Amino acid sequence: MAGLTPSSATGTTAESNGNGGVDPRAVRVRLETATHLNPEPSMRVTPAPEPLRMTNPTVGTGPLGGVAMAPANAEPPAVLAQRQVLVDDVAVDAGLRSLGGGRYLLVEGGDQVRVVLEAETAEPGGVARREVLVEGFRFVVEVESERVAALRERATSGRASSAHTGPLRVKAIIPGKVVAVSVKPGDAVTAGQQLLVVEAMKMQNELRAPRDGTIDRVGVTVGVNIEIGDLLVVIS
Amino acid sequence: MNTPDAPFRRVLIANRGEIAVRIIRACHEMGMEAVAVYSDADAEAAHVRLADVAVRIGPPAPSESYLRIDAVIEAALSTGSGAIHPGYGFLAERAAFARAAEDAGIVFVGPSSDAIEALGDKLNARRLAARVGVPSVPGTLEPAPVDHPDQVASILETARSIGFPLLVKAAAGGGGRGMRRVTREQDLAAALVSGSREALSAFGDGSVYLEREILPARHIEVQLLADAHGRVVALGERDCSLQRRHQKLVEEAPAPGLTEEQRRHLHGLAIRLGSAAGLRNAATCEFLYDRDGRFWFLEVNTRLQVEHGVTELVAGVDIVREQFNLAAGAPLSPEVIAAGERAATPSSHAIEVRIAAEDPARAFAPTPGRVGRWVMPAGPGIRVDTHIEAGDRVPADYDNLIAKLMVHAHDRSAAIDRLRRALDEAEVGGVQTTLPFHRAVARSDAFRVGDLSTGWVDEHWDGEVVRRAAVRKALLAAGLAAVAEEPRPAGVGTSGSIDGGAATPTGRNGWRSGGRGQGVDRWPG
Repeated sequence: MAGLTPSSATGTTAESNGNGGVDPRAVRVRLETATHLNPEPSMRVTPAPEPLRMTNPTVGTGPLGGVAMAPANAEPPAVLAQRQVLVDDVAVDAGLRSLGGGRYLLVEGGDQVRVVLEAETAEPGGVARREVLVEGFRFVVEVESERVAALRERATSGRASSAHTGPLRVKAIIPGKVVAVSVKPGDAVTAGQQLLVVEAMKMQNELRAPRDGTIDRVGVTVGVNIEIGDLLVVIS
Repeated sequence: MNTPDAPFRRVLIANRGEIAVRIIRACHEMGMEAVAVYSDADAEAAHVRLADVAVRIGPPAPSESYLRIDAVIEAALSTGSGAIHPGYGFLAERAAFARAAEDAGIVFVGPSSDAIEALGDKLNARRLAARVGVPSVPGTLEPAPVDHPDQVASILETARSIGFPLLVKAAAGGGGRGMRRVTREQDLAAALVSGSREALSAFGDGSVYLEREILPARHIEVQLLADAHGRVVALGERDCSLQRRHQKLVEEAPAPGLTEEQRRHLHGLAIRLGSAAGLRNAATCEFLYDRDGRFWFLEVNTRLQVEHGVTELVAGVDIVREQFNLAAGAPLSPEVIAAGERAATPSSHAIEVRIAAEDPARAFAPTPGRVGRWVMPAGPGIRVDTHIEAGDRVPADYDNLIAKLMVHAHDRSAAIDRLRRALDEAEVGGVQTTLPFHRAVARSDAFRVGDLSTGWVDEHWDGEVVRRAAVRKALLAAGLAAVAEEPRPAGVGTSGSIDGGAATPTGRNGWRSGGRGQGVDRWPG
């Protein structure tokens, strides 16, 4: 199964949506950011003006015999076809075909790949979240209306630049036990410098400074057990 | 359920996870009752569910449960267990544990405490190898003076004679813990201290020594079985070159590309070591194989290995079953002796990949959590050893191996094809696993031609690039599902709360009204 790459896009650029006009059907998709140190790319997906719907699919001959212990999905296999969507304003010949049980065939250009879309959970504020499995990876993907995402970005863009110089709160990305703390308040640190060592699953994991700064606060001491999201260090 | 000719009536398994499950299965096949021990983190774990009796031995921290010799021995005595199988890790290579079992009149399924001491301590093993003329990786034979700053000059002298880059290794070590790679003289002192600290925390023994780093090299090991009459048989070798942080990711049997003569030579070195150490039961001799075709002895593991399954598939021997028979005093079975005679001319191939809760795109960092979707492959030539079901928790307290996927076929090329097919069937949600790495291995030309080395992962795996391509597909799939013009299935809004939200993407009408409506309808609380 060949990889789906951006090069399989048809390459035609969409017409402008007008002055700030956003297709009300468009969505913004991104990875749940909380679990990643680095900002992840987001994607805008807009259906083409006249979507084509297939109603009688030939269900692919996917692997059989897997022992699925996840609760079976009672939903009949649905067919979702979206030929010619706009991905970040580039027209792409892509579609999604249900294979049942949360499994789908993602078709883009001449390539296809099996994905799993788990049940969606809705968050307050119109963000829906779902786990997506593809090529061995599992991602938690957030989907929201493009209109809402664009509005929020406009509203926060003025503050965005100051965020880079404000205090940086370093949070735990793995649970474990703090076995060494290498900095104290007032220390100057450079990007990449070791802040502390967390032991998880029998391994010692070094946590390093994401950028230069001065240690403002250290929220943990040696021997403390931490959970994902715990505040470890504040760098100003 | 006891069988009259079973070697023991009741066996305690001093372990958890997939290996405890694998040993319990062997017990049940042999008509023996299995006693599990568990910490509070494992009260509902698979090994507890499968065992005939389960004994709680303490809180989650290994030092307060699975590493407590007194608690495990007490559990064996109170349940009337005639034998203890230690599995791998935890207490498996603690001579004191084997001795405590021996003293309590319980059979320890493994080498004797004396042999564990002689072979399990890497410095001891290196000295033994020197005595019987088996070449060891060049390095020191005595512990480095970590606590004596005045002796730093002498250790530097030794280090220079070994040559940089070199490795600081824990004498009591395993799994790469306590190990440090040192490329420059000025980093040696710090590496000795931090390696020793990690070794002390992991093994209760901070002794470290120096060893030359042989690179490029392949990691090849020999499976030994031995009986109480001093007979030692090599069941064949495994190539375990694909490692990250000195921990194995992929193992195969036999090691590709060796000639029959090389195999006989290698198996002979291992048998010589095992015989000299008075080995009983099962053990593995690890070697590095350099580009000049030389084998360098690394260490002996005096226990069942994680990767024993690939040897079982190729040799046609159930190693755990043999361990129980040998522990009960039986001589090596005719099947084992025949398998030993065939070991230099293997006629099939097996590959194992370790599915671990780690993110291969983030330097294989641990990803403990709760497993969601869990689909393992099946069909011809597939073996999956696991303790995991959908919904199970992967605790941060223990090793993050959650399944071993093994494939077996008539030759290596067919085994790789089978591995690729099997990995396409696997679906694991909830926690990130090493699956993307294994998929890349199964598709790698370098792997297929047998271009293996302990530096393979660094040379051939760029997790960030692979991940980026997968992220795009994930976003596109979720985006397509969201914009698809599907009629709302009947009943959404009432059934949603029953089936946990339809797994099938439904209409996206909600977006049009600001992205709220549908979510609120489906999740009324």
